[in-house]
Amino acid sequence: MNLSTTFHEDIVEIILNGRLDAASSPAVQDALNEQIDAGHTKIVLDFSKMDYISSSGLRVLLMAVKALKAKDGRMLIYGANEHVQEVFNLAGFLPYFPMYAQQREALDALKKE
Amino acid sequence: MNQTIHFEIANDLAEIERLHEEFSAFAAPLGIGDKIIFQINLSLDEIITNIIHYAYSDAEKPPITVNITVSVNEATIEIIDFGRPFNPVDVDPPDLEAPVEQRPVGGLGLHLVKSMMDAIDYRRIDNANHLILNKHIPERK
Repeated sequence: MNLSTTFHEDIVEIILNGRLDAASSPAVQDALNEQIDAGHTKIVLDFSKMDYISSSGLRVLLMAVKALKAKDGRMLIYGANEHVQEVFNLAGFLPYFPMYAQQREALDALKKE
Repeated sequence: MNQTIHFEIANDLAEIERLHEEFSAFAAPLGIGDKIIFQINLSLDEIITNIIHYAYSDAEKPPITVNITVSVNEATIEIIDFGRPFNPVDVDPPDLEAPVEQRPVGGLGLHLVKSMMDAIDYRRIDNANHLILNKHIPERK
């Protein structure tokens, strides 16, 4: 898993490249905590280069969205492939993580807040 | 004709990516579609990650055995470990309807396995946990 971060005004975008599983989830958790602890409350996750997620990945995303919710923050996802979307659906996570196809739609949805 | 593949997995999370690569390379030429390969890979991951995290005390960690047999219309996945007895069939599902604030952060892995596989069977035989997963394969390309 490779991670990179870009900023769009007050929105933080984290790009995940590879597999989000038990082996990589601690690094993703650290990256999310770093942004949340720095006071950022609008986070977009780019899943377009992420080909796999397990429950270990879901777990760190859920912890991050709980922390954000406590600060009136939000986290959106774009570009998830059909397999990753199925995992979110079966886990009952779609109500917690709005999914968009394109980066522009996700950024626009957060800017409306 | 049945096709079988056998793995010995060390107690190391890095082994799971190798297992995924090797199972995918075995299954794709058999005409098994991407969706079913993903579902079997995820189920293997969830079960083996649980074993690596919870089955053994610190001292001795024997390898985990995985046998996968593909018949005309079904994949049978057998996962064997020598850790403490654990029957995943008995684990209650998480509350999927809870609002995010009340949603517990664990317990999802077995729910995903039970959702993606068609059958799950557990037996304790000779100090080993034997978990058998079955996945129907609708049509082969």
